[in-house]
Amino acid sequence: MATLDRRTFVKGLGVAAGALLSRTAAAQETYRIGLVVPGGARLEVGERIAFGVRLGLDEANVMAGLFGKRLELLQEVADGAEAVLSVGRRLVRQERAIGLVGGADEASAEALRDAAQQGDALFLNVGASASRLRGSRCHRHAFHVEASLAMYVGAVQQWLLEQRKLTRWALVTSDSSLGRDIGQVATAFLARRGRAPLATEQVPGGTQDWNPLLKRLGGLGPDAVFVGLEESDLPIFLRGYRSAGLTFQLAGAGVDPSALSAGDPADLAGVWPVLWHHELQRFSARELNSRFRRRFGRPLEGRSWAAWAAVKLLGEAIVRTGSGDLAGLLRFLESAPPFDGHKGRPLTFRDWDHQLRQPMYLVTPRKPEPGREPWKGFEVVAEVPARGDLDAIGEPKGESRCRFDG
Amino acid sequence: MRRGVRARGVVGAALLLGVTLLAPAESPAQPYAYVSNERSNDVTVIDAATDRVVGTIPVGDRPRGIGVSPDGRTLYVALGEEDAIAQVDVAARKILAKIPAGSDPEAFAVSPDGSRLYVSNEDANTASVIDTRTGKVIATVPVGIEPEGVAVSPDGKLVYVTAETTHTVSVIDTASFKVVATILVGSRPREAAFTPDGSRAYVTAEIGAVVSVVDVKRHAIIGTLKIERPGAKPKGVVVRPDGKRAYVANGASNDVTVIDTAENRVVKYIPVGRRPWGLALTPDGRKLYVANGASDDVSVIDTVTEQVVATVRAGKGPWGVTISP
Repeated sequence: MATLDRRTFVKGLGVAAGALLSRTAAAQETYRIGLVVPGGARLEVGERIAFGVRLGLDEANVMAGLFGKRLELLQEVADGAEAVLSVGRRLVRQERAIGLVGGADEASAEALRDAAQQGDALFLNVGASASRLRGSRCHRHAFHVEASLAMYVGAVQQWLLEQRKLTRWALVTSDSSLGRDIGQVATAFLARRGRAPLATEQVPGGTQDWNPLLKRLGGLGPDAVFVGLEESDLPIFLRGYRSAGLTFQLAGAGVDPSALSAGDPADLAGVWPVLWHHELQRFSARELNSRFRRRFGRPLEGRSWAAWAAVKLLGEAIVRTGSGDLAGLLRFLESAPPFDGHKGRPLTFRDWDHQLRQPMYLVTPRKPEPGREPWKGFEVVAEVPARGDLDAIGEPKGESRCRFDG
Repeated sequence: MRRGVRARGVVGAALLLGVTLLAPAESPAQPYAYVSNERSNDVTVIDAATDRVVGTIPVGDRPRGIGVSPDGRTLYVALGEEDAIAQVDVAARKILAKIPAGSDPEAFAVSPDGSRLYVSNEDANTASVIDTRTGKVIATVPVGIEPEGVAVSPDGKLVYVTAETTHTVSVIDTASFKVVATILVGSRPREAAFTPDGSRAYVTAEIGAVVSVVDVKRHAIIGTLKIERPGAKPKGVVVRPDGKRAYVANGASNDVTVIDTAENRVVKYIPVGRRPWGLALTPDGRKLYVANGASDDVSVIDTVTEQVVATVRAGKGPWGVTISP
């Protein structure tokens, strides 16, 4: 456990609690929520989640305070599945947390899901998009605010097909868990529309020489190249893509686009899906972005948005059901209450795998500009689905391997 | 800092011009509908007898919430980008003053005696009470997060302020300026309207796509009506002067819901223009004016036949409507 990081995180909480007291003088019933975030090398991811949780807690407590209730946050830093499981168990069993928030990656999400399952609590996943968590490893106590990989990939694919009318694609994926997952959901998406990739290339991690693959792509002449590569491989691929002079529409998923800015800005290209963007304006997104920036001095992005939404959802569930009773909370969340995530549409959990339905946003790099902060390097080009059925992206019910009764 | 300077500038301009906040003016002879156009920064004036446009009043940056004084002489328009509420002489169709109104004012209500404006302050999570005679804020009341719609009970004793992020209605007692109750309604509440006898109120919820029916005396929800239209985002709501019908602007589903208030059930959906938002009834309740934000027009509905009888061109982005008494 990283005590220094933990102290940094907790520092801001005192301020949050103080600000809330004046608005929650009548608070009587207190409900505990456990937050488990990574530290160490993944400190930044942990901070993003923690900041989102704090804003969500502020807002949930204003609402809860109006009805004589209060949410209390118990925050822990833990790295590695074993440590996360241990902390999660303690939060639920000893500290009596009714819900756990976290899941910065697949392993920690699985651990928190197990802790919640064993301790009769809820788990809200705010950072892990792996298909398995919504499929063979799903559990009734787990709700996924973070979008599934199928939603990230499907959002880009739907845009390429329906908006850009690009149908002949080459898939380039890493030979890794993430790459294989992206390859499968991308191929399944095309199959649902009676299509197949023009070519599928799986590459080992750490590949330095992309020329042979890029030459093959050049020879194929696809409409688009869709990449599902590990974050560490992407900058080298993007450099090679530019050097080779390829101009096919580039798109991808599986990484936070702002991480791409670590490479040469001139190499940035493609269309990438995100859960949230700090420049969104409509449906009071401007106000939410503004509240976050005022509070933390940084832009609101996907993981922070998911964390904000998770705590707000829990708070609303407690207020609307009038208690923290697990059975009641489960019934409420499964009844598809319309959640306002400032995305302009009611967001609801799917009943077959507990994935939150929501529109995604596609971003593309801006023209490079010296000295610009990395997070300002991308702009929103589309919302997907722009209208209609939110299940148009993501894995449909008929293909789900999730069985809550199993 | 920028906002503060701008707000002071507004007051200063009013003083330099030597205008008084309540200039005497002739009351209009017949009802006029005033439509705020948020993208063309003006107000369209429609003669409610002929349904013809008889004037356009430039008012300022991003006009949205709009209301008229009980004597029909003064029009108030919230200017979101100017942090002010424009006070317009209806007879002269000229701006008398711009009252500082906090950050990004969107919605407000005029008290039945015309002495006060109740304004929601979205950024500050408060409602402000402004004395219309002096233009000064006389009270600030904490409400829920992202306050939006404001409605005053017919007797002037209660003010409802919806809050979009906490899904609540704060009930403010206008004698003490205290919140006396908080009511949990549908997801993302937008507006509220009282029945003429003040016994009930109807509250729209945009994301929940519902209308909550409130027992005003008990501060309790007595019914929830689902707007069963694809993509519906209920926003504006008004109750007919005879109290028998409530009308709701459904936003993205491009229609208006008609509610039978005796039975509290939806009886009809009337197709109108694109993205109906604000609503207003003529004093006799015979005609309903609907601001269609995406088609830049106003649908006029005959409330007896419940049909659209006219479509009137407005400015760009019609947002709200109010009608002089």
